[in-house]
This record gives sequence, C-alpha cells and structure tokens, in this order.
Amino acid sequence: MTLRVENLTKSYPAQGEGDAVPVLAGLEATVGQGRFVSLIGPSGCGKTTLLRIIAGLEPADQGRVLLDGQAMTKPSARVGMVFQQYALLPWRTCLGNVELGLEMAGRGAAQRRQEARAYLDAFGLAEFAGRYPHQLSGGMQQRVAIARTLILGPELVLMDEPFGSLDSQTRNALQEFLLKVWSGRGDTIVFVTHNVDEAVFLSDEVLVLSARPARVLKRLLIDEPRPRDRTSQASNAVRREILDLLSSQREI
Amino acid sequence: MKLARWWLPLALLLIWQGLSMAGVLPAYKLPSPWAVIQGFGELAVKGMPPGQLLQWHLLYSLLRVGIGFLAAALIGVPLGLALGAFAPLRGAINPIIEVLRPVPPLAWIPIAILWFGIGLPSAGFIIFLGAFFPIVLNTTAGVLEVNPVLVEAVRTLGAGRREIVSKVLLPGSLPNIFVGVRVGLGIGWMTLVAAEFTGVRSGYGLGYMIMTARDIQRPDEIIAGMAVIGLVGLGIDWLVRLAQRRLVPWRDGGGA
Repeated sequence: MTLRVENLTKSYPAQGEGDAVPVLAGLEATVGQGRFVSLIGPSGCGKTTLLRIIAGLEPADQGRVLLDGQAMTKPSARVGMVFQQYALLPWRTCLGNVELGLEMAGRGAAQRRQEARAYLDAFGLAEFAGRYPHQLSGGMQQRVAIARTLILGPELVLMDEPFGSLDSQTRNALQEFLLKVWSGRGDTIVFVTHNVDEAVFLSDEVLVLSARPARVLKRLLIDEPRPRDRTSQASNAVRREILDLLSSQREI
Repeated sequence: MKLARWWLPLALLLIWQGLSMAGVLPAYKLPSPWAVIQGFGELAVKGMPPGQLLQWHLLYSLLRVGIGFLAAALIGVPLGLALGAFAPLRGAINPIIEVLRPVPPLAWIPIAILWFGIGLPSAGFIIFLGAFFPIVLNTTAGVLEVNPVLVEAVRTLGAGRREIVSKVLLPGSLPNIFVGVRVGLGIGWMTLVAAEFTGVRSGYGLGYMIMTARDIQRPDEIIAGMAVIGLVGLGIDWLVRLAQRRLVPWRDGGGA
C-alpha cells in the first residue's frame, strides 16, 4: 500500500473578522509500503489536520489523498487511526472496546470475542479484559486503543501524538511496545509527534514540516537498524538536523 | 440505613404526637401521627369511599403515571438524541420547546379534558407533558456532552450514522438520560395527583381518594394519603437510582 498526498490545501474560517487561516497549502508527500514515517513540525502547523484529512474525518479544500492510486474521501477499513486521548468508549470494558470494530464489520459475537481475547493476550493485556478504561493507566489505555485499531488489519495506521500525554518512562516503554507489535506486520504507519527523540527512535523516515501553512521542509531517512540506541552518534546527528530545521521555523 | 439520619424526623413526630395529645393541635385540623396511622389502616381495609381500597387507588395512580411516563420516555429519548445529533433540527425545534416548557402541566388540564375527556387518556397526557420536557432536554444535553473524539474514533473503526447513535451517542448520554428520567418521573408523579383532583372517571386514584376524604371531613385520611404519595415517590426514585447503578456502571470510579 502506497499513500500519496497531492496538493492538499485547507484553511479554516476566521474567528470573527480576520481572514481565513490557511493550514495546508499544496502539501505533497509520498509514503511507501510498510514504512514507518513520522511527521514533525512546529506546534499548530497543521500536522493533525493533515492526519484527519488522510483519515477521511475532514474534507480538504483542494487536493487528493490516494491509497494505491485510489482517492479516499471518507473513513475506510483500509485506514486505522489512534488518538492522543485514547478515545476508548468509557462504558465498554477493554474487551468490549477491542471488539468494537469487529462488531461493526458484522462479525458474530462468539467469533469476535475470541479474536479480541487473542489480541489482548498478544498485547499482554489479557488480565485487563474485563476492566473499564478509567480503571487503567494511560499507557494501558493506549495499548488497548492500539489493539482496537490493529485488530481490523488496516493497511495504513495513522497515529496522532499517541504517546503525547504519557510520562517519559511510559512513553519509552510504549515506543518499544509499538515497534515490537509492528515488526511482525506489514502495515504502513504515519506517526504525528512533536517529540524529536521519539521520531528518531521510531521512524524509517521523518518528514519535517514548516510552520503554518504546512509544507514538507525536508525528508530525512534513518537507516539505523532496530533496536536503536537512543544515545548513538547517528541518532544524535539526525536529531540535531531536525532541531535546526525546527528552530528555523520559529517565529520568536 | 443509619438510625442517626432519622433521629430528627422521629423526634418531630414525637413532638407532634405530644402536642396533639396535650390538645394544642385541634384534631379536626391536624390529627396526631397515631390517628394518621389509624387512618392509613382504615384506607387499606375499609377504603375511601367505603369499598374502594387504598391499594386500588395506588394501582390506578401508578398505572396513569406509568403510561404517561412511558410515552414521554419513548418519544423524549429519541427526540432528544436527534436534537443533540443534528444542529439544524435543534435550531428549528428548540424555540417550540422553549415556549411550551414553561407552561405548567396543570395548565394543560382544561384543554386535555376538552380533547380527551375525563379519564385515563387525559391524565396520561398531563403526566406525559410533565415528564417529557426534562427527558428531552437532558437527553439533548447528554448528547452534546459526548466527547467528539469518541465519534471520530468509531468512524475510523467503520461506524455509520446509525452505529454512531447506537454505540456512542446513546450510551454516552445515558447518565444524563437518567437525570431526565428521575426529574421527569418526579414531576409526573406530582402532577398526577393534582390531575386526579380535577376528576377521574374510574373512581380510583390517590388524588381522587384524598379529595373524597376532604369532602367527608377526614383529615387523618387526607394526611395518610399524602404520606403514601410521598413514600411512593421516594420508592420510585430509589428504583430509578438502582437501575442507574446497574446500567451506568462505568461511572462508579468517577471520570470517563
């Protein structure tokens, strides 16, 4: 599966009197099959908007999102999304949340329960199957949310700062968890973050975006084999390059 | 139930009893608690009017409330969901609701009698009006409180319009729906008795029973009837809260 984003343009209506705010202006990007690609950019640059348009949650003013050449305009089973706030349904147990997508795909009750249990098992969450989200830590909730998305077998997984509200220990653990889960699959991942270390640790490539309206400033390839050493020289060099690019975008 | 919570009401009852026995409170205006209890027994055994027992009055009243409330819930919850989900509909219908809502249900009695005559449909309609608005308004508020991210999440998981309603908006607004149900039932119950004051065709109903007791100067039975209304209202609220704890278990730990 190849993702191609062509000439994406989007602006939001002005608050009050001012002009409309352009968020994306002719953004172009290509993400190859099975790649782990991070989007990083100054805060408020339109990363999340881009992701939402790719997910089909929001229309673009102009331009197209192509999956293997096919234009996407609404949410699709081929594309999954993981949210920063986990977005688990609070009235469903972990098991019930993981079953959710299967349920809507019309899978029978016994079968989807079995599949969901197998997933929770594989994700090390078996003992939490009957718990409600509020009874779990943020890290656990996000694992459940990732299981809920991946169980549907999407070809493209969009992640919107999924570890953004976790403390740094948990964040590191979840990064390693995500890589472990992903290594056994062929999914393509587009990962939005504003954390440079995270992008460098996880990705095959990092797209550095400009300040609003967003365009791709630079595409950096990271060839270092995994598991990576967070403190290696190569990692540091990439980090420095990204940080320089980002500071060039700062307005103050 | 802790005894400590009940010492004040019990003490007041004792004082009341004492004042009655001392002759300070005239029995023809305010009978003693003991006389009320005896009146209650008489209502249950002999009935008021004679032969029409308290149990049957209560049953008829509950039936009227049940029908009116059920209709209010069956129409109010879906309407509230629709109003919460579709802003244009909300804009169109809200003004109508805002005008009708402040009209007290009892003010509808004359027109209800004109439309439905005296009897069950009329009483049901009045109770319907009392329960309907709190249910609609709270359901709408509940939908508006549902975190929009949840809707987006289920859309990316393959939900269509119908599933967004059934799997997110309905369960998400359930806590508020319960608030509406509790308020609606409370108002419905209060309204009912007043509606029965104005007439019932069957000859049964707590309000009717109380008015009959007044006609023949039985303050003990009037107050016994009022106590039944209060206690049954309390019981209904208790049942709703019980159902709420069952159906909204995720609220137990707070946070959502």
